[in-house]
Amino acid sequence: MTNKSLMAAVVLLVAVAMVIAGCGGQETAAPSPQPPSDEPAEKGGELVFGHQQKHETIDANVWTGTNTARIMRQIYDPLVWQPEPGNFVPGLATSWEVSEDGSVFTFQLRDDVTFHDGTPFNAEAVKFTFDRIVDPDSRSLQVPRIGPYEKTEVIDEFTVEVHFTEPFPPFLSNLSEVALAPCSPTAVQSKERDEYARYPVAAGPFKVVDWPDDNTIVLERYEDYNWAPSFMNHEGPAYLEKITYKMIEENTTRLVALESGDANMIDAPPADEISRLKEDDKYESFTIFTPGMPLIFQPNTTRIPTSELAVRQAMLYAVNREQVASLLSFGVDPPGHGPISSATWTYDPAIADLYPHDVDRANELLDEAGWVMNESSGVREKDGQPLRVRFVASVGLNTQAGEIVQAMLEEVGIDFVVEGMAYEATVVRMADNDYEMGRLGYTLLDPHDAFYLAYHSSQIEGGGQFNRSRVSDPKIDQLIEEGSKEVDTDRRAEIYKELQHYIMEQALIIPIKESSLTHVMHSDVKGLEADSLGRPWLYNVWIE
Amino acid sequence: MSRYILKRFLFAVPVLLGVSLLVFMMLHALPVDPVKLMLTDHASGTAPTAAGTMTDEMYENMKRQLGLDKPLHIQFGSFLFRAVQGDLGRSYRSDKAVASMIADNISFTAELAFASMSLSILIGVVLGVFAAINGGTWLDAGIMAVSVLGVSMPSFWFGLVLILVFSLGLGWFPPMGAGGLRALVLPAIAMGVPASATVARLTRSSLVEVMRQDYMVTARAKGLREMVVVAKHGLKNALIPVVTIVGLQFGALLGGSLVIETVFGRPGLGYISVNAIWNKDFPTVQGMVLFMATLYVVINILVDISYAWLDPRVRYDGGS
Repeated sequence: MTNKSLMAAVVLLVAVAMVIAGCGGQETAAPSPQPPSDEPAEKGGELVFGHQQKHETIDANVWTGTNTARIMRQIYDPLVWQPEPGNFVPGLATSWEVSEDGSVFTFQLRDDVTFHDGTPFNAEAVKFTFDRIVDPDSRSLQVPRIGPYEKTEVIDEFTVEVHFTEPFPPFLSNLSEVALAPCSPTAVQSKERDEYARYPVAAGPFKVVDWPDDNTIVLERYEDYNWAPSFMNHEGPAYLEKITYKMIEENTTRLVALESGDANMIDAPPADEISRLKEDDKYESFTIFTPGMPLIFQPNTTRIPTSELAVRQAMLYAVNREQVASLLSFGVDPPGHGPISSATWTYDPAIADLYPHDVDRANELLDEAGWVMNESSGVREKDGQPLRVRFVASVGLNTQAGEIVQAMLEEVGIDFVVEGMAYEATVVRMADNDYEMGRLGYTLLDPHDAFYLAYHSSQIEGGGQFNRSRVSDPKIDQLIEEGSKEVDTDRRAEIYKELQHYIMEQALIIPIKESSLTHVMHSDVKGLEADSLGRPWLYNVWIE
Repeated sequence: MSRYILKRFLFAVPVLLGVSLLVFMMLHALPVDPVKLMLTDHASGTAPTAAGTMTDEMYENMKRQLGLDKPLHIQFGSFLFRAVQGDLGRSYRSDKAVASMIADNISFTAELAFASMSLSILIGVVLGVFAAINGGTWLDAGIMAVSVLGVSMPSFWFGLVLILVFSLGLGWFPPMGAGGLRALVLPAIAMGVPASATVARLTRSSLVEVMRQDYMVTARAKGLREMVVVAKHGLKNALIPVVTIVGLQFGALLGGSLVIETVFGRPGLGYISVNAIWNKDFPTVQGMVLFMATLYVVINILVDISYAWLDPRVRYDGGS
C-alpha cells in the first residue's frame, strides 16, 4: 500500500513536471539577447545560432558538407556569385572571359581586397587556392569541383587564367560555391594543419575567432569587409558584430534553446513544431527549398518486375506524391515530380503533370501487362510470380516514406516490401544488385551532377554507385555528356529539360519529396536571406 | 603490494594488444571501403557536394594518402609503433590527430564523469544505507521502488524532462553547452541519478548482509553508537561490491556518453567514438578503443587496490 502511494507520488511529480514544462513553453517570454538600442539607425547585434550538426573542420577548400557549407558561407567570399541559378554576378572577380571552347577562364580581380589576416588578395592567392585543392597532400574532397584542372597562370597582379584540359562549363557555377573560394596563402603556410582546419582565413564578411570547444564556433565581423556583391542591400562590414554557433544535435534541445532565449536563431526545428512556431508572433521562420535531387525511389530496371516499363509507370500513377510529401514533412516540403527539384536551375514545371495520382490508370497498366490480381492474397501475379518489389533503404525518413508508399501500392496489388537496415548494409545490397527499389537524395547546385550521379551508366558500378535504377541508356549518357560540355546556357537548359522528360517517360524514378531547411528566429532578428544552394547569408542580418 | 601493481600493469599489455588487434581486424573485415564512403557518403549530410564525379585517380591518391594501400600487417604494425609513442594517427575525416581530439574533449567528459559519479555515490550510498538500516519498513520498500524507476529510466528521456522543466519552465539552467558549473548541473543529474539507483540497491543489499555478521554484534556490544557501528564497521565492509560497480560505471562514463552529449549539446568523447564508427574512420575508432581499454585497465587496478584499503583481510603480497 505504502509502496504504491509512493509510486503514485512519483508519477504525479513527473506529470506535474511535464505540465510545468509544457506551460513554460507558452508563457516564458524569451529574454531579449540585446538591450534595446539607443540609436535605432545603427544595425548590429550578436547572434547565437543553434545549429543542427557538429563539424570538425570548416576549411572549405578541403572539406564540405551540406551543413558545414552553411557556416563556411559566412567566412568565404567567392570569385563569382550566383544569386539565382545561371545568373553570375561579380564577387572577388570583377569580370571574366571564357574561351571559345570553354577550357580557359580569364578573371579580372578586385584590387582592394584583403584576407582576414591582412594578406592582400591577388592573382597569386587564386592560383595558390586552386593548386592547393588539387595537391594530393591536401587530401581535398573538393577536387571534383575543379574538374579537369590543368593550371592557373598569373598574368599580372590582378589577372589570372585558369586552364582546363577539356571544356568545363560548370566551372563558373562551381566557383560560386564555397569550395573554390580563395584562401589566404600566408595563413595556410604559417598555421599547423589542425589549426588551419578550424581557423581558415578567407575574404568573407565574418572571420573565425574561436572554437572554445567542439560544440561552439565563434565568428566576428570582419571590419575591413567592403566588397559585398551588388545584390546585397548594403555595403561595408556586416551588421552583426558576432555570431556564436552552438552545435545542438538534439532537435528538442535546439528548440528549447530558442524558446529559453539561449539562442536567438536555430535551424532545422522539429518538423512537427514548424506550424506552431509559424503561428507564434514571438518567432519568425524562414524556409529554404534546396536545389538538387528530390528524395527519389529508384526502381531497379535490371530485375523483374521493375524491369517492366508498365510496372514502373503504374507505381508512378498509384503513389500520391502530394500526400506522401505532406505526411513526411508535416506539410512543409513540396512533393517531388522529377529528377531535379523545383529550386534547381532548368527545372521544368511541366514535369509535374506527367503522372497525376490515378489508381484506375495504374490498375489498367498492370492488367494490360498481364499482372492478374490474386483475390485471396491481394497481390497481382504473372506466371506464378507475385508482383513483389523489395525496397532497400536505411532506417528513418526513407523507411517512413517506404511505408506510406507501401500502403498506396497495396491498393493496386503490388507487394511493396520495406527492408530497412543500416546505410552500410544497403550499400552492400546495392552492389550485389539484390533489390528492386533503391533511394537517393542530394543537395546539388548544378543539374549536371543530379543527372550524372543517378542516371549515367558509369555510375552503376563506378563512383558512389548511385545509379540504383541501373539505367544504361546510350541516349541518357549522350545527353549528360553533351550537357556537361555545352558552353551555351540556353542550349544546356534545353538538354536538361529533355533529360527530365525522357527520364520520366521511361519512369526511371518515383520522386517522393523535395527537401527544405527551416530557420526559426526571435522576431527581433531581421534580414535573413539565403543563397541558391539554400545556405543562409548572415551578412544582412541584424537584431532590432 | 608494489609488486602486485607492477604485475597487474604488465598483464595489461597483452590485454591492450589483444583489444587493438581485434578492433583492427574487425574494422578491416567490414564490407565497406572507408575511402569510398568518405568520397561518396551522403547519408550523414557531410558528403562532398558532387561526389559522383570522383575519379579513379582521386580514389587511389586518397587511399595512398591514408596508407590503406599497404598490407594489413604493416598497417597494424605502424599503428602500434606510433601508438606506444602517444601518436594515435590522424582521423580520415577531419585529418585531426586522434590524440589531440581526445585531449580537446577529455576535460568536458571528465568533469561530467566526476560530477555525475559524485552525485550517484552521494545519493546512492545515502539512500542505500537509509534503506538498509530501515530494512523491511515502508521506507526501505519506497527507496527500492524509486531506484527501480531510476534504473529503468532512459537517460535521454530523463535529460529532456530536466531540460523542459529547468531550462524552458524555470529558466534556471541553460539547456545546452559546456563550460561553467551551470551548464554542468543538468547533464550531471541526468547521468548521475540513474546511476545512483544501481549504487543504492547494491549498497543496501551488501549492507543488509554485513549487518548480520557477528562483528557487528560485537561492535554494538562494545557500546558503540549505532551510527558509528553502521558507518565504520558496517559500511566500510559493505562497500567492496559497490566500489567494483562504481569503478565500472566510472570507466564507462569516462568514455563519454553520446546520448547525454547529444541531448545537452555538449562536447565530449562519446560523439567522437560514435561518429568515427559511423564514418568508418579507422584511426579514430582504433585510437578511442585503445584509449578506453587503457582507462578500464587502470580503473580496475585502482579498484583492486582499494579493496585492500577497505578490507584489511585482502592482501596482495606474498605472490598470491
